[in-house]
Amino acid sequence: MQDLILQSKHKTKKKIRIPPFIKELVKNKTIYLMMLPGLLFILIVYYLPMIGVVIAFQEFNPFKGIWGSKWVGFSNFEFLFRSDAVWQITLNTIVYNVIFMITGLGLAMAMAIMINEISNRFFAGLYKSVMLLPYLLSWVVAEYLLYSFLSIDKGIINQLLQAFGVEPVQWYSEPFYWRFIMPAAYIWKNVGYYAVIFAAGITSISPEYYEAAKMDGASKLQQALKITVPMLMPITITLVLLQAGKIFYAAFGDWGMFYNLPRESGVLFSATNVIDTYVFRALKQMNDFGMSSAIGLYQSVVGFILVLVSNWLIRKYDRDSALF
Amino acid sequence: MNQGNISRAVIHTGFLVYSILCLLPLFVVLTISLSDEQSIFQSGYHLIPEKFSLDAYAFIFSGNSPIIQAYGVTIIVTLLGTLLHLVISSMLAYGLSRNEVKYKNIISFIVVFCLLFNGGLVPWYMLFSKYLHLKDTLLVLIVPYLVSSVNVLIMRNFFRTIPDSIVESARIDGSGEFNTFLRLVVPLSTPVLATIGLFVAVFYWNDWFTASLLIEDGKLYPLQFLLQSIMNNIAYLQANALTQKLATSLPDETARMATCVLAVAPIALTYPFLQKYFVKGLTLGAVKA
Amino acid sequence: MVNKTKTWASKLVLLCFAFTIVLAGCGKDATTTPEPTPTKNEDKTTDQPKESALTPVELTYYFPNTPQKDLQSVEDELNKLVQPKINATIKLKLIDWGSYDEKMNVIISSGEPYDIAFTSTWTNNFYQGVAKGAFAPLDELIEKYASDTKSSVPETFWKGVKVKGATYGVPNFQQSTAGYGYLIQKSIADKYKFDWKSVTKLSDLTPMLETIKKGEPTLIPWGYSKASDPFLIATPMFNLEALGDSKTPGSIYLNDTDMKVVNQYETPEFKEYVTMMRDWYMKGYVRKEAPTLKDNQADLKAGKVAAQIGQIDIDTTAFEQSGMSAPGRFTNYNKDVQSYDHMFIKPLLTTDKAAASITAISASSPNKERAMMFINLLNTDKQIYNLINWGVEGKHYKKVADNRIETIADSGFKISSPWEFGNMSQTYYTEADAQGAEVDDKGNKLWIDLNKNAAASNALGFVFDFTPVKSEKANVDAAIDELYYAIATGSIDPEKNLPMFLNRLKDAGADKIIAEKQKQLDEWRAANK
Repeated sequence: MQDLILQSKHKTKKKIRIPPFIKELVKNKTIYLMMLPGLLFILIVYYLPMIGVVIAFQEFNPFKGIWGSKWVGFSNFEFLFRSDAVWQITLNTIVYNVIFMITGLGLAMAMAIMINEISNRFFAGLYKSVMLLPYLLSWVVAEYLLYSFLSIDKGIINQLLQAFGVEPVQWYSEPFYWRFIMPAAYIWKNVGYYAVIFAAGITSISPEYYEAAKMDGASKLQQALKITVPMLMPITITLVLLQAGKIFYAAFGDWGMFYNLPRESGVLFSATNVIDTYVFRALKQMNDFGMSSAIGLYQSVVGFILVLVSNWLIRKYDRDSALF
Repeated sequence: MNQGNISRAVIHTGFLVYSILCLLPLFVVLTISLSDEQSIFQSGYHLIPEKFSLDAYAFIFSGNSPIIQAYGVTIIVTLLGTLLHLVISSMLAYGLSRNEVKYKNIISFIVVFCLLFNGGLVPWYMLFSKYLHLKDTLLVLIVPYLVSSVNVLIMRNFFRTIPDSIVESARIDGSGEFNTFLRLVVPLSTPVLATIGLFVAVFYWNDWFTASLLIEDGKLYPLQFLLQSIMNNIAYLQANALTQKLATSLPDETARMATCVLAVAPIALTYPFLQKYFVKGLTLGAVKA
Repeated sequence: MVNKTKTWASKLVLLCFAFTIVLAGCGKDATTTPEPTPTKNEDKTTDQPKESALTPVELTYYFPNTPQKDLQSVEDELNKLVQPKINATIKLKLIDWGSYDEKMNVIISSGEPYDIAFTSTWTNNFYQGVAKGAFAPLDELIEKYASDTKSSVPETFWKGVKVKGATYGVPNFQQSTAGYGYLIQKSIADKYKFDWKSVTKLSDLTPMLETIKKGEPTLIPWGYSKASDPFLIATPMFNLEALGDSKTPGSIYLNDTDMKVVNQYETPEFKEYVTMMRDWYMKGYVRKEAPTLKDNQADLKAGKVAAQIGQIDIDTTAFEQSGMSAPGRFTNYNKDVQSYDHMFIKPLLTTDKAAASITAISASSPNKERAMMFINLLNTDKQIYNLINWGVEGKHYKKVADNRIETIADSGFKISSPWEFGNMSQTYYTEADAQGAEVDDKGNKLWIDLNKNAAASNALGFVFDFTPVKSEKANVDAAIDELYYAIATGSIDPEKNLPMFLNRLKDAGADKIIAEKQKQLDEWRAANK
C-alpha cells in the first residue's frame, strides 16, 4: 500500500532514497495534518516573540529597536542579586511552591476519589460545582473577603475571639500566621481545579478493575490506593512536571495572592515576599523592560533545568509519563 | 455495613463543610453588592444586607458605560474561542498520544519548552499589533489563546488511556485517522474535553488584560475589562480633588462587589448544567462500527 | 456515511489549516523586516510643511478617562469644528485610567506611531518618556503654531517641561499648585471651640486630638492612609522639597540656595515627625491598622474622621474672603460632613506639580505641525475646548448662563476632566462648582492668581535621571515599601527601628543615589545659570 503511494509520487525516478523524515510524514499524514494548526500556532504566537528575550541583556530603547539597543551583558540581573532580600524571597518562593504542590495535588486527588465514591449523582455534581467556585474569583476579591475576616476591629474572627474573651490579634502585622494563611488560601482557590481534572481522569478507569478487586475482597481504601492512585499517576506526573517548570515563579505564576492578600503590609514581608512581588514593587516605577525581562529569564532558566532533570528521571521510571 | 455508612456520613459532612467554606465568601460578596453603601461604612460587613439597595447595579448598568454591548462581545469571544481552542488543541494532543507517530517526542518538547520561556510583553504586543495587524479587532481577543501547552498535555494523557485495541479495530474496519478521532475518540473523551473546555471558557470570560492593551474601540470592550475600568474610574474620581464631589454619591465597595457578581455569576450558574458532559464516556461503551 | 464525514471533516481541517496559514503568512512576511518604523518618520520631521495647501490628515489623540458610551458623537462634532480650521480630523482614543499607563508604555516601547498623548508625572510618565526619546521637541513648533498658547501659560510652568534645554510638552494650565494644611470637621471644631485658624504646624494639633479622643469615642481623631501619608505628600511641611518622587532618598531643604541633597529619612525633621506619630499612635489618635491602610475612603465616607492632612490650594478663609460658600473638603467624601480647611504652608510650585498635566506630541508622529496646531486650538478656542470636555450642547448638557452649564444625567458622555485637555481657564462652570462662582469668573480667578503667583522652587525644572543607579533604586524602593509605613505611622518604636531602617537603606545603596542626585543637580544648576 505504502509502496504504491511512494511509487506514484515518484513515477519517473527509480530507487531514490526517501529520507525517513518524509516517509514518516507521509505514513501518518492525516495525523500530522491534524497536528499542524496547533503546532503552527505555537510556533507563531509563542516562539516568535521569544526573540524578545534578548531584551534581558540590553538597555532597551524602543526607538532603536531590538537590534539597535545597547548590549549590557548581565547588568540587568544585578539589582536582584545585589539586594539584601534575595535569599529571603527565593526561599519563600520555593518553599511555598513545594508546599502548594504537595498539599494541592494531594488533597485534590483525595477529594476527587471521595467524590467518585458518592453514589448520589446530585450531591456529587453539587460538590464538584461548588469546589470550583473559588477558582473563578480573582485575588482582588479574595483580598476583600479575607480582610472582612481578619480586620482588626471589624473583622469576623476578631469579633469571635472577643466574644470568647480572647485578645484580638493584629493579623496584618504578624508574619507567623501568614505561613499558614498562604497555603490555606492557595488550596481554597486551586483544589477545585485540580480535583476536577483528577475526577475526569477517574472516569476513564475501566470499572472492570474495581469489579475484580471487589471480588478479591479489597476494601474501598485498598481499591483507592492500589487502583485509582496508580492509574492517576501519569496525569499527576504531568502536573508535577509542569509545576516544577514554574518552581521559581511564585504560586506557579499566580502570584497575585502574595501581592493582594497581605494588603501590601510591609511588616509581613518576611513571610509574604516572593520573587515576583519583590520585582514588581521594585520595577513598578521604572518601566524598565530590560530588567523585568531579565528576572523572567532567570526564573525560566531555573525551572527549565529542573524540568529537564525531572523529565529525564521520570523517563527511566515510566517512559510514557514523561513530558517529552 | 456500618463502616460503609459511617464513612459515607464522614465524606458527606466533610464536603458539606468545605462547600460552605467555598460558598460563604461568594454569598458575602452578593450580600455586600446588594447593600446600601453607607450601611457598609457604618457597620462593616454582614451576612444579610442591613439596608437593601440596588444602587450598585443601577450604577453599573446606567447611562454612560457600554455594558450590554460588552456582554455580547464577551459571549461571542468565549463561545468561539472555546470551540476553536478545543478543536485545535485536541487534534494536536491526539497526534502526540499515538505511539506510531515517531516525532511525538520532539513535538512534545516544542510544546513544553515555550511554557518555560517567553519573550515578554513588548514582543508579544508587537506581534499582534504590528505584524499581525489584529489590534482593535474581535479576533485579537480570541487568537492569542487558541492553544495552551498545559491543556495539550493534559488532553494527551487522556487520549493515551483509550485502549489501543479500540483504535486498532477501527482502523481495521477501514476508518480513516480523522474519522477515528472524530467518531470514536472524541465521544469517549467528553470528560476531559468538557473539563478543558470549562477552563478555557473561564479564561476567555475573565480575560481583561488583552483588551487593556489591544482594544481601543469602545464597541469591542469585553465585560471584565469594562468592569475593571468602571472600578478604576471610581477610584480615580475619588482621588482627584476636582472630581471628588461627583464621586461622593457613587457606590464604591458595593460596586466592587457587584462587579464581581456580574463577572462570576454567569459561569457559576451555567456550570452545574454542563455536569452531564463530565460523566463517564466509557460506560457508553459502544465502539461504533 | 463515511464519505459524508470525510468531506465534512476534511473541510474542518482545511479551515483550521487555512486559518493558520493566513496567520503564518502575515507573520512570516513581517519577520523579514523586524526594524520598527520610527527611523523613517524622523526624516519627515525635517520637511517643511507647505503653507499654502494643507493636506487632510488624521491625528490620533490618546488620553485617559472613563470609557464613554457616546464618545463618537463628540468626536464627530469636534471634527466639524476642527476640520475647517486646520484640515485635520481627530481620532479620540480614550483609554481607561487603570490601563493607560501600561498601554502607553507598550505603545511607546513598540514604536507604534501616534500623534498626541496626555502625559504627566503620575501616569505615562513625562520624564521617562523624554528620556526614552518618546516625545518630540517642540520649541520650534510652539513658536510657529502656538504662540498664543505660550503666552497664556505662565513662564514657571514652561520650566517644568524643559529637559536639557528643550521643551517636550505643552503644560495644560490648571489648578496645579497647592499648599498644605489640615482639615477638621466643622461640627467638632465648633463644639469644642477649637482655635483652628491658629495652627501652624502638625504638633499644634496634639491637644485638639486629645480632646477629640476623650470626647468622641466613635470618631477617629487623625485620619491616615498610605495614600495620604503627610511626610510623602506634604514635604514642604517638613521644610523639605522632593527631587523627583518623594519616596526615593534625595531631597533638598526648602530655602537652601546651595541645594545640598540630603537623605530625608536621616533629617531631624523626620525623626521629630515619627516620634510625634509614635506618641499619637500609642495614645490611639490613629487607627491601629494605619500601616496597612491603602486608603481610608471608607472612614471618610462614613464621616468617622475628625481631622486629616490636607493638600489645599484655596482654603476656607480664602473662599469666605471672596464671598463664596465654603463647605470644606470633607464634603467631597460625605455631603453631610463639612470641614474647615486650613492651609498653613504656602503653595510652592515644584517640578512635579508643574508637570501634573501635559500634552505631548509623539516622536513617532507623522504630522507634528498639524498636531501642534490642534493643541493650540485646545488651548485658545473656547468652543473646541469645552466640546471635548463637556460634550455636545443639548445632548450632553444644557446651558444655564453664558458660561455655566448643567450636565444631563445618563447622556452617554461625562468625563469631568477640564484639567486634562488644555487651558482650564476656558472651562464652563458646572453644577459641581460653588454657587456664584461663574459671576465675573470668580471661581477661576482664584486659582489662576494662585498659580500665576506661586513661588517657584529653586529646583523647578530639574529632573532626576535614575538610570545610572537603577539597581540601587529598585532595592531601596523595596526596603522603603517594607519598613517605611510602619515607622511613619508610629506603629513601631522609632528608637530602635529608625536606626535599623536607615541602615537598611544604606545597605541597599541610598548613599549612591544621593551622590548621583547631587551630581546631576549640580550639573543642571551650572547649565541653567
